[in-house]
Amino acid sequence: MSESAPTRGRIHQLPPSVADAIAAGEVVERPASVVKELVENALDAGARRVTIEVEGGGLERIAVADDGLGIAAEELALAFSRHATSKIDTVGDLARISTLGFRGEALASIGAVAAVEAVSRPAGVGAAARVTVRGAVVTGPGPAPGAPGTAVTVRDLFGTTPARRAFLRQPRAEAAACVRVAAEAALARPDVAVEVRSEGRRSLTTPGSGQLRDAVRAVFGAAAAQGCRPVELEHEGLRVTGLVGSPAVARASREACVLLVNGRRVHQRGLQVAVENAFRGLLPAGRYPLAVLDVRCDPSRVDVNVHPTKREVRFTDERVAFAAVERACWAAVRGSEPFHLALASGLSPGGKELAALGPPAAWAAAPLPLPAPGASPGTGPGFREEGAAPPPRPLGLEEARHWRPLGQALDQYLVVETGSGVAILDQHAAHEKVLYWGFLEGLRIAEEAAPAAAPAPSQVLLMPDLIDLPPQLVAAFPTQASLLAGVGFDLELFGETSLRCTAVPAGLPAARVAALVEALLAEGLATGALSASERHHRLAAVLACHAAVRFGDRLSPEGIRRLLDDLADTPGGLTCPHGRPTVLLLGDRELRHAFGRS
Amino acid sequence: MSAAEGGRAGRPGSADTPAVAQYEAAKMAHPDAIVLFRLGDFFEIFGEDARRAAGICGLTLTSRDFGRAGRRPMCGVPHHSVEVHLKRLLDSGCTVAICDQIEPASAARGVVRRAVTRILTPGTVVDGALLASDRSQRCVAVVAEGDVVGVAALDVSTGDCQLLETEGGLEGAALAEELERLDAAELLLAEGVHLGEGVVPSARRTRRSVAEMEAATARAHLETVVGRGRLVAAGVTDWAVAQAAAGALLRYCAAARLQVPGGFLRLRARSPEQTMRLDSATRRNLELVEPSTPSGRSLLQLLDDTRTPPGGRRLRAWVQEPLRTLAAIRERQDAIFELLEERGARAGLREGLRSCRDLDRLVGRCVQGLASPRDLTALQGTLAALPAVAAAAGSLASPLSRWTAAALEGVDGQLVATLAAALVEDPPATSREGGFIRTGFDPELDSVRAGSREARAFISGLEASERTRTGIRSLKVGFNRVFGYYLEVPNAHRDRLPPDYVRKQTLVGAERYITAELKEQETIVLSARERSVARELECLRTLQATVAGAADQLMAAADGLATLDALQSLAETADRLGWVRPAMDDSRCLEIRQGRHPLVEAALGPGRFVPNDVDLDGDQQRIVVLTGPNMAGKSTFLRQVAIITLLAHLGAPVPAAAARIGLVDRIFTRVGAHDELAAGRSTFMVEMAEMATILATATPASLLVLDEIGRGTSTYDGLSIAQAIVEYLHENPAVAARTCFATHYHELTALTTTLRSVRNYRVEVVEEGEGPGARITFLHRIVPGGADRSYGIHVAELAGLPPPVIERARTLLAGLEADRPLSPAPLPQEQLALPLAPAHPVVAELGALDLDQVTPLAALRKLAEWQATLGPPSRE
Repeated sequence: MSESAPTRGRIHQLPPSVADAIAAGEVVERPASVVKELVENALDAGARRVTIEVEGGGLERIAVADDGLGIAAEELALAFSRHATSKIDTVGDLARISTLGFRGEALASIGAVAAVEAVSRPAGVGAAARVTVRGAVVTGPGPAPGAPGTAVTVRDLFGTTPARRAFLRQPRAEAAACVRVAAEAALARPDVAVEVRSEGRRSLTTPGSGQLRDAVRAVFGAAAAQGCRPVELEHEGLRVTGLVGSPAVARASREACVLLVNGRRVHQRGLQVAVENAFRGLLPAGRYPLAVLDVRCDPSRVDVNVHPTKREVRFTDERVAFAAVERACWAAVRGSEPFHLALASGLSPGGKELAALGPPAAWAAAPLPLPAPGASPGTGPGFREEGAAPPPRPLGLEEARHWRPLGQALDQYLVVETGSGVAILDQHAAHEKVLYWGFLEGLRIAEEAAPAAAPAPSQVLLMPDLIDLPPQLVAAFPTQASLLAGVGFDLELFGETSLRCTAVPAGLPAARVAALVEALLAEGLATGALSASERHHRLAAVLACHAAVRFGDRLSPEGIRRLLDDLADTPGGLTCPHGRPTVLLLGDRELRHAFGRS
Repeated sequence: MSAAEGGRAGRPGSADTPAVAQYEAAKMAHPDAIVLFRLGDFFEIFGEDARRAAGICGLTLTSRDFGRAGRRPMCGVPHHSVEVHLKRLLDSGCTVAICDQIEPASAARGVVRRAVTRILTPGTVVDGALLASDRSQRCVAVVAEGDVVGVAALDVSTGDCQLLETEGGLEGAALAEELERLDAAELLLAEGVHLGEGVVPSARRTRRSVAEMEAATARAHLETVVGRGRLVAAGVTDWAVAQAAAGALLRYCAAARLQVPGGFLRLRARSPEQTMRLDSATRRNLELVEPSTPSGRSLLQLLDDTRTPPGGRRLRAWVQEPLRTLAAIRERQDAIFELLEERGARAGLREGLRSCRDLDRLVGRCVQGLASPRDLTALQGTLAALPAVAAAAGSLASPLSRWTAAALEGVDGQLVATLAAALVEDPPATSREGGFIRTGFDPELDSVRAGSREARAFISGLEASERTRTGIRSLKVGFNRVFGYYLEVPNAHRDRLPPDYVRKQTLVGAERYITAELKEQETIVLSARERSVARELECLRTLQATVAGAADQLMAAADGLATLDALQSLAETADRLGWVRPAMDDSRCLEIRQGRHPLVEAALGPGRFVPNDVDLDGDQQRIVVLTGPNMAGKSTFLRQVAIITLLAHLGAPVPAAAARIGLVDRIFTRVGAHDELAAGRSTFMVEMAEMATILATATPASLLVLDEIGRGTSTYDGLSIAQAIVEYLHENPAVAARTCFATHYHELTALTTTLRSVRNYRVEVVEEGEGPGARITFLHRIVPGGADRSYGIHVAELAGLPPPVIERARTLLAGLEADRPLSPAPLPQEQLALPLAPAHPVVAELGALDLDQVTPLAALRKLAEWQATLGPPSRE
């Protein structure tokens, strides 16, 4: 490393293009930022229909067209200069912002880092006008054909700042981010029809019917739209409205929780926690609620000019906002349903095994009374006075070893005493998980043909079993034979349409052999194209499901004990291979609450 | 196969092998078809057929010894992939005869019996793989008696049979329009009957002998097959020529070995005036079902968001059959708009429809005994999904939706239950090997299967019992496809074998044996297998018959499904694109606010299409004269007016902000040059021929969309013709149609001074600068007023003609305009004084008078005569 003395340059004013490019960096981080700014402009212009097109992840082209008020030809060029806006006039206006945009920066920033063309035709005017912007230099306006409204096309984004391009993610990820931004804008304004096309294909179409549920249906799907409940609550001058999804439609990430403040999409950690609080006890780890909520208040109570991209806002009283959101969600979700038991959270056995949860009916117990009128706010069960909820206490299932079995209920559930309360286990799900891991190991070993490994435990049948199968499954047998041997089957061809089975995996009840072999072969056929691990997972799941104890099987005390011990040894014992819970916990504290003590 | 002997009578020498004889017989019976001969797992093609087929399908040509005939060329296809090749053969114009085995190979004594089971032509296929799912492929018979032409169009896959009669003989326009609308895949014509080349060129024309198409016998045949009652019910008893066509059609199907039972045929009477008539030019210009460029989209493709194939076909039919009555239009509008608003119900409906398959064709295959086990499973799945669809439709209020819901509910739930009980979850693709009927459905099948199972269990149990008997603990029972069942004994114990062990196979460390007992059981297993396959096929036939028995209800349900699917598709498209409900009435107005051309808008992308208005009231504003440069959007505007009107007559929403449209009986379009040089007609000739038809057949309720009439000939001729046409349309009450007339003759803008119902519109153009450096921008906006220039030279400049050429053109133009100013001064209007009524007899006489021959006295006498004829003059 050579020593170099600092060289003295002259202080000088940066040319506008450089200054703009620097400033632009704050506003235009990635293609999705461009989409957000243009869509907000469209909405502020009173559009009823907004169409967004994205190509090359947004780097090649972004086009946003609307049918709003448009921009007059003489103002079009000015719109692209810095600090030019129609939305505020005085500092006092900042305290009363009613539009999404107000800084007058967005178009200028975009023009500094891309090639932009804007065509706009104000209502009542015959001709449209067109300007182009490159490197902050504006050309135009000239006449052009155009529909009433505004159409902005952004090409070659970050073409002059390759360093910024290098930091972006893959085009597909950037395109997905653009679609998400548009989707959130559509959710904020269900009265606007939004269409998004990515790489030429339609990604999203909302009808603009004015019904939030229709927008939710378009963005999240019909199932989600059906599983949502309306939210409507007033609390100390704040009004929270929207839709919140029942636990059955919860998602695997926080992205499905869309929060708006006065119609503006924000990423407000505090409010997010408020929503999750309302769902505490209803969702397992790794599942987050689906919600679209708008917190409305007088603009003077919230400062939106806090963050460069307006991602966060500041309330004059943060706690009131928090409480309003939490109460609103709680009322919507719990108000009409029976009380749900808390599920142990913590150990999450590898995300992909958690599939969609079963219907809420699976969770029912006694109904919980709503707080009595006149009770002071924030004292109902589950409420907190202060901000964030304490992190959930992880409960390892290793403790199952120490659980004391109390008995079997309805030949379906096992009831045990834990160190801090009572637990109820689904006997089939629990046994299934235990067996699943065993089979998975066996399959893996068989695939790798590890010579020194012990063969899977199998038991020889007293009477060899004849299994009749449809011709296509018999044809599939030879390719599956080694896998089946790996889990303990001994099968051979015995006719055009039958197999002969002389040994089965240990513990498999004889009556289920035929159904199991058929299911395995069918599964093997169907999953032939998948990766080895995915195939093993599916086969092991089928095996486990067939081999495990059923609802209706009576277990002996030794059997229960053995199951608990095995469960303690099984990784991810919290859920069965299909993602359903194996155990429900009733902690002492929850019991006390439920009984009205404390 | 007695036919085998027929061709060989009297030939000396060694006989052909029986298989060869079968082939020769089949080929002799169908000399023009490509014969596919089933040999083992293959279909083989021989001789000239093989050469043709190898070329078309890309098969390897080899040869085979044909006995006395020596070596002949041959190619073959495996039987399980024959459909692909069949499609290629049919598409290239071949007829295919399938000569298949008609008994299982195991049951044959000597050579397996074969016969021609099917003759495939484009109009007689029912196989899913050979049919396009988005359109019908109809077999159409055309019979002419004098001026009346009878047409019968049968969709063999669903039994739908339309009968119609047209006037005007085989040259008539109505016939050509109907044949196009019917998606004819094959036309049956008698020898000597000539149908124009341009009529449905894509259909295969099959010549039938005059006897086969003879009218009286054909009519009798029809009545025999369907019965008089059904003819009365369909309302076709007076349509003798159409009946003849239908009878001829049925005969053809029988010759093709296609089962068309009388009950399967659903006869429908159709009159061309029932729906809006659309000529071929209109269908093409508006891109109704075919895009004008291969990479483009047609209107149908834009509208099609159906979930089932029958829905797609129904929508295709609707697009080609716009409605003519307000009641029908409003009924559809009500249903579509309700579906548009009720998004939850529509989403539920779409979800339910997703599980429905091609119900029409599935039922059709069952009726004809051609359904496979998978077809039946698909049918079961569809029927099982019907209640959900009915529920979604039933929640709607509009009459049309409720009617379809009622049709869906009419299906017997027992049928679904029977199918579910009969069929396994995932049946194999072919019925040949069995394995698709559940145990517990058929007692006979169950007992055969049980017998087989017992035998196999016995064999399995032999392992234990033989071990005991021989004392060989390592003895095993096994099975292998080649040798069947065996007892396997390792070599070490060879000496302990009982005497009744017969060696079957030798391995390295062991030998395999059979015993008499084992053999006996094995025979039971094998014969049981055959019997079970045969029994399963019988069950399949019974199930097909059960479905066929319910065909009426099922076809009604299929009709309801197709209607629902088409309705929801229109609602979905309209919701997505923001289309609105037009107000329809029986006035002569045509008002569209901010109308858009749906295909051009979709192709241009968002925000780029400039919407435009049109405002005709049928009286003060009836004819629009649209002037302006080319490429500025005139044609698009004309087309969008026509498309929006057509969409409105489908009962569908339209791409506009608002619209009010009076009923239109026909839409005529004359847009764009269509050169038929190959047919020996120049562009101009074609144009004039089309105009002639238009002027002869348009009515006051029609809509005329005319672009650049008079192009293709000299300027003065063209201008004169164009002006004369506009005046004719204006003055003649019989042709007082709503008209949009685009022209490059800006002289015509002067017509508004003399013709009161004509209005001028122009395409807005912005000019920046003056003279040579001027830049023009087309705004694509249509505004009132006439264009005062052509901008032709500007457009040429834009197109890139060299500057010297442009300069010179400008100079020349200036000169021409100075000499004879072609602009706004109106042309002499003497033409208007021409009498439009036929000449008065006096005038005729005057014209005939030879002044050279007549004397003054005779002339005076004539004058007196005429005065008397004309009556006394009125004196004021």
